[in-house]
Amino acid sequence: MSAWGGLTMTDRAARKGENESWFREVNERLENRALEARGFDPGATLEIVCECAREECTERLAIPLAEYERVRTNPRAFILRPGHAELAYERVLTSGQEYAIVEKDGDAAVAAQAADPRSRS
Amino acid sequence: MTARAVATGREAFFEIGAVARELGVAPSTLRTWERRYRLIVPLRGASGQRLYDADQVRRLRLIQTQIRRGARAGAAHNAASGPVPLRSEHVELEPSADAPRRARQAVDTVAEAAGNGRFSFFLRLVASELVNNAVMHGVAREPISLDVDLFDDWAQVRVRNAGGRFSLRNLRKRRPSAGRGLEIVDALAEAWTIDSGPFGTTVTVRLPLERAPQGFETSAER
Repeated sequence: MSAWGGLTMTDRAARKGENESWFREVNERLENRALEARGFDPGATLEIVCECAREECTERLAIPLAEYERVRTNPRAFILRPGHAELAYERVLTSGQEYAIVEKDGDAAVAAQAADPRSRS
Repeated sequence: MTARAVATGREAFFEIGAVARELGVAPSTLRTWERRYRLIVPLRGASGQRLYDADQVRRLRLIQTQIRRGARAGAAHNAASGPVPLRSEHVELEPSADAPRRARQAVDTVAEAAGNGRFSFFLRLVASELVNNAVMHGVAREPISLDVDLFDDWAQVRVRNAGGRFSLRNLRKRRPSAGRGLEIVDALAEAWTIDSGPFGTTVTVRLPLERAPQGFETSAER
């Protein structure tokens, strides 16, 4: 068992949760770079990395910047390639051709919130 | 080091015979390097014997590694005059679809010493993205070289591939999605450089070891 985000979870679940949170952090930095380069244009598209639990998955996806910002207001939400959700601890809120938005459940949700860079700042 | 170390009040020192055996060189070689390059000058014991501290042994190990890879002794001493990595890994990778996975494995052997899961994750990601780029844009029959060095509070990843001059602008004209790996590298790195010429490309990335914020420890930091 592991303590992650102050919770006790299985090592496997904790590792998966960490991977997703770290991919989210990568995407936050990609967004910062894009904003520095081009400024905020809600109609612009942001290219990010799939925030799924598999570390080897670095599939890219494109999401409108305004939609990305909307998702980030929910610290329990992650943006994945369709079909990459782990239904044991997250549920799919919406899914399209390019990306799906999932929300964590239970302990995974609390841990995701604890790891959210925007909640920390 | 298994050979005799001389313990003092605070740290261990190593005699020239022990150091020479570990490096696989003659003691006279160490004395020659000391006289010629003045980079590694050991302390002297009560009877005048040379005593090397741990940092000097690390630098000598680095020098010997460079020489084994073909560097001249002078160049190897120059390379070792900067910060000395706590751990290093060098691998040659076949340019295949499996190369990014093998790059991540190579990073792990170094990154585990940092004891920081988040840092290791970013380091693996940077290495695998660079190696993936090298597979896509390098020469199919030439191996990709990966070096990972871990320092006190940062790490350096260096990936080299053979091939023609790399131009991101030209690449994007042909394929708009190209070069995304470098965007990830740019987002995570403290600094990075790309050195591309007619025979190949080397990308060097410096990644800072940032601790996770207080109250949020990762599994690898426990």
